[in-house]
Amino acid sequence: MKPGSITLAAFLLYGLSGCKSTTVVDVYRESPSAAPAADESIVVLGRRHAMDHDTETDFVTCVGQTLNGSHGRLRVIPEKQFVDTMYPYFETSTAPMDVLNLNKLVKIPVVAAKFNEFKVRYFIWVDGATETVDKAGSISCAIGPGGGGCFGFAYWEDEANYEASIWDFKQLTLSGKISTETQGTSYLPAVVIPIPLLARVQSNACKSLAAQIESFLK
Amino acid sequence: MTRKHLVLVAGVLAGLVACEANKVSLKVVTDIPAPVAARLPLKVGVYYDDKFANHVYEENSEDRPNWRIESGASQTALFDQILSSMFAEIQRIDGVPPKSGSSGFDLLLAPQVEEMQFSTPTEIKTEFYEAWVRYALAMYEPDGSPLATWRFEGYGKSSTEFLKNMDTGMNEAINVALRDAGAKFIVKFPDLPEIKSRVEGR
Repeated sequence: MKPGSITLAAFLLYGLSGCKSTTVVDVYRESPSAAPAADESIVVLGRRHAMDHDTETDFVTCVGQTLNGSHGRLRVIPEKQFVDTMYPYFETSTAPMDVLNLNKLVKIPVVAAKFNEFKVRYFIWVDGATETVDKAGSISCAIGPGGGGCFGFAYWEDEANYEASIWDFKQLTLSGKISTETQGTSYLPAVVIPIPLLARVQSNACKSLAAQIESFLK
Repeated sequence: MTRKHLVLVAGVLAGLVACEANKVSLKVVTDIPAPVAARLPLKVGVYYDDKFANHVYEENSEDRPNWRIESGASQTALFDQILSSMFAEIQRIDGVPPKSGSSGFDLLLAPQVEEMQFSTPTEIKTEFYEAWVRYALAMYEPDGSPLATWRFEGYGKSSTEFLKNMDTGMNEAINVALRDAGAKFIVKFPDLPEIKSRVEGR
């Protein structure tokens, strides 16, 4: 192997090892929680009332689908289906901000009937976002009569912070809160061709959060 | 063509491209779900005047060249959807009071779009398109005498993810704003004193 190839391989290996992400999970249990019964369901919803960020729809979908696929134990209602069916009571400006406000909704007969149809046991409210907190480097690309290519190096650091609040609809209590903080750095070295080495920060945050929620509801 | 001319042509082309990038021309398409609402025992007539039914937001400034947002059809669709789920009977009327057609209404309504505001990601340095709309809902006695005017707002935003173009981003934000306005209407309208007293009096 030529010295140039060895350098490139070493560089890629370094990048691959560097683009890992780390996750810190914090679980706080407020009251005892029981696993939902076979005919009961849970709903995962995103909070979107902050001006500076929205909990991403695809993140909420990811958490819901991961829970839904967790050994078939949990039945998860898709967010859009639930919010559309419950319109107007779970819109950003009208959704209950506190578990006690659910009690007010239950007193509206048409709303209570819909809750019964869904057989909701737990509401899981996810609030947070994934953001790029640092980036540096540059890549230049050029094209000429003999061909083209890019050269340079760039990296960026993503941070995903999410908090899930678990409401027990049967007891009308806050069961607990789970927060995840995931960080990871992605690299983009370019020697003729740019090779992205991505840290899957949001995806890892989703898996970690879903795993903790599943464990919490056992 | 001299070099000077080439630079000038390139400059004009760049300017045109920049202008086109800021242009908005859209017919709002909304998707409002069927509401979950308890019907109030009232027969209501609703009047959409031409200004409301054909509502157009237009702006032509340096920053917002040739903006034209047609939302009339979406506005009437929104009110048709929510009013029909809120009252025992709802009928469109041709004026206040109705010039022709049925009578025996408990209440007459006439919504107006009082104000619309928008912002784009480049204008406010965020990752969102935003839309804000304020309605003035005039309420009348069955004989057409004014009862009250209620104002309510809707706000919506749409993120710039997936490299949305301006029209798509704006349409999504307006759709969310209309949906939000509809939600506030359904939740708050039954608690207005004018409506409560009418319902309790039946």
